[in-house]
Order: sequence, then C-alpha cells, then structure tokens
Amino acid sequence: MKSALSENHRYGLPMMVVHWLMAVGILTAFGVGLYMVDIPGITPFKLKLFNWHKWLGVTLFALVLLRIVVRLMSKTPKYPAHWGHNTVLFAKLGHMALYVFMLGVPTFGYLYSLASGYPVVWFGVIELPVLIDKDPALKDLFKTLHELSGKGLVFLVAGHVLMALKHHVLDKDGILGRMIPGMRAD
Amino acid sequence: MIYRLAFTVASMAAGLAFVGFAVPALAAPLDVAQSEVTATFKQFNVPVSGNFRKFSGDVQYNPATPSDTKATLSVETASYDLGDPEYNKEVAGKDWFDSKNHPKATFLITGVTGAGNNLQATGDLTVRGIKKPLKFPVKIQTAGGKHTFTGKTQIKRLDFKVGADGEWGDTSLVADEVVIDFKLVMPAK
Repeated sequence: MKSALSENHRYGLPMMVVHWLMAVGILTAFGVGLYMVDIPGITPFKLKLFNWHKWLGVTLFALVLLRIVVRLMSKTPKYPAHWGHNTVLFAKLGHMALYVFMLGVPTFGYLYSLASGYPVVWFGVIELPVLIDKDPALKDLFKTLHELSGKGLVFLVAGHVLMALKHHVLDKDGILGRMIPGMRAD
Repeated sequence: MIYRLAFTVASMAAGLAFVGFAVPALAAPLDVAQSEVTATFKQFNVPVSGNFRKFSGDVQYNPATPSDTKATLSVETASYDLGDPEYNKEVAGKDWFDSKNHPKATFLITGVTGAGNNLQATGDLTVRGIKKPLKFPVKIQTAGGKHTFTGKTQIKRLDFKVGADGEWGDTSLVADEVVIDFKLVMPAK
C-alpha cells in the first residue's frame, strides 16, 4: 500500500538515472567549456578539451531525447495537492524551459562547430551528419547563441536547484525524494 | 562491335593527326582567382580543411602533348587559412610551417603519363626545405577558354617535419596523413 502510494509521488528509476546523469554532464560540459575557451593559443590539451566538450554535448543531446521518450512513456508524479495554480504554472514553465535549453544548447554548439568547418566525430569514431557548410557569418551567430543559451541553461539549473531546496526545506514538501533514489517522498 | 572498332580507329587517327600539328607548349601564369589549393588533415579523426590564400605559379600545357605538362606552384605557407586567427597563427608558427624561416612551399608537376581520363602526374613537393617526390592522378579539362587541372595527393606531414616536435608529433591527435587538393586554372590560349 505504502509503496503503491509513494510510486505515484515519485519519478520512475529510468527518469531518475537520466536526470542525474544529465545533471553531472551539464555542469561538467559547462565547466570544461568555460575553461577551454580561456586557454591561450592552440595546444594539444586545448584541442582535447574541445573534442571532449563536443562529445559530451552530443551525449547530452542524445540523453535528453531519450529522457523525453521515457517521460512520455512513464507517469510523472502529480504536483503536491496544496500547491496553488501559480506555483504549478511556474514549475511547469521552468521545467519546459529546461527541456528547451537542454535541446538548444547542444544544437547551437553542434551548428557552431559545423559552421567553423569542424564536423563532429563522436568519440573520434562516429561521424555525425554535416548539416551546414563552413560559414563565417553563421559561425559568429551560433557561437553567440551557444554561449548565451549555455549560460541560460546553467541559470535555469541554478533556479531549479534553488526552488527544489526551497520547497523541500522551507515548505517541507518532501519534494526531493521524487528524484533522489531511496529518499522518502511525501 | 564493328562500330566501336571503327570509332576507335577513327579517334586514334584523329589523335595522330593532332600530334602531327602539335605546337610547342607555352607556360602561362595561373588564373589565381579561380585556382584553389586546399590541405585537409584530421584531428581526433575530424577532417579539417584550410585553403592557401596566397600562391602563384604557371603551367605549361598543350592538349596535343599532355606528357610535356609542367606546373610550378609557389604557396605562401603563412596564408593557410583554417577560418580562425588563433589556428592560423599556430599553423604558421615554428612547430608547423615555420613560415618565418620557410615562407614558401613549392609544388611541381614535372610530367604527366597516361592518356584520356587516366593521367598520372609526377612531381615533387618542398615544405620546410624538405623535398619529396609525388605521384598522383590528375584530370585535365578544357572548357570556356580555360584549362583546368584538378587532382589530389596524400602526403605525410612528418616527412616534412611539420608539427613533428613535442606533443604535436602524436599522430593520434593530428594524423600524419594530409590530403592536398588542387584546382589550377589557366587560360587556354
């Protein structure tokens, strides 16, 4: 009885796994991205970081697609009953924005790489499609979009974490257990 | 069958007639604006191409005597353009082209063998003062008052000591193989 109830209030294990993988991946990609662009000149290490950053970005893009499929196929927990209309709306918009940015940041990064004349070869093995040709004007455009959306995504992640903590700690919603395996969810 | 044979004989006869009226080939300067020289390498298996923006040269070609074809191409190594100033600076630097000490790379075609669509060019390439022989297929087309020579050849950068020292010598990072593509255009008259 208890387990059936708590299942309704929690995300399924596949959603939890992909959520935490992406959390680690997004922060790593962001950190590496900020660090690598500040390395002066061109060094082997810088090239390595650029490639790892791209491989990670493509992986995150694949993960978010997988996540959307898993989400559509599984039952998402209901919002706490006592939440007001605006709180629910705000949470929904926030989550939707996270998905939009999780799709957008790697897409812009991928197009930025192509417009710069660098196709992406995933893990140095799988050649991904060259959708656009080298183009200096598009390169500048996608560079800006990638950087801005990347910062936007991290800003959203920060907001997401703060709101989750606010609900859990201040409002005592017990909300963290929905996404943390093994933690109690009310 | 008989038609094909007749055609072959006729074209051979035409070819012989042509050779009979051969005029000496004249070297003509390249139409630089229409010509292109590209080098493509792989870093982490990613193919990356750059164009040489500055080069000059001349080609000696007579359609009647393609085997006498000769071409001289002098390329400014510092003009290799990867589309990013930082990369361009690195590649012109002393680890790679060492453009300060070796401002030019030269590419020579010293002869062409074969016929029709099966032409083989022989020549040599000098980069960083190191000269290596080359042999590669070449295509010659004449249209719109121009002769166009296209071809590609694969070289090894380490043969020319390009990026040979230190970490850049690691070919799992930047592959040893480099493909040079060229399109040389000259006026047909």
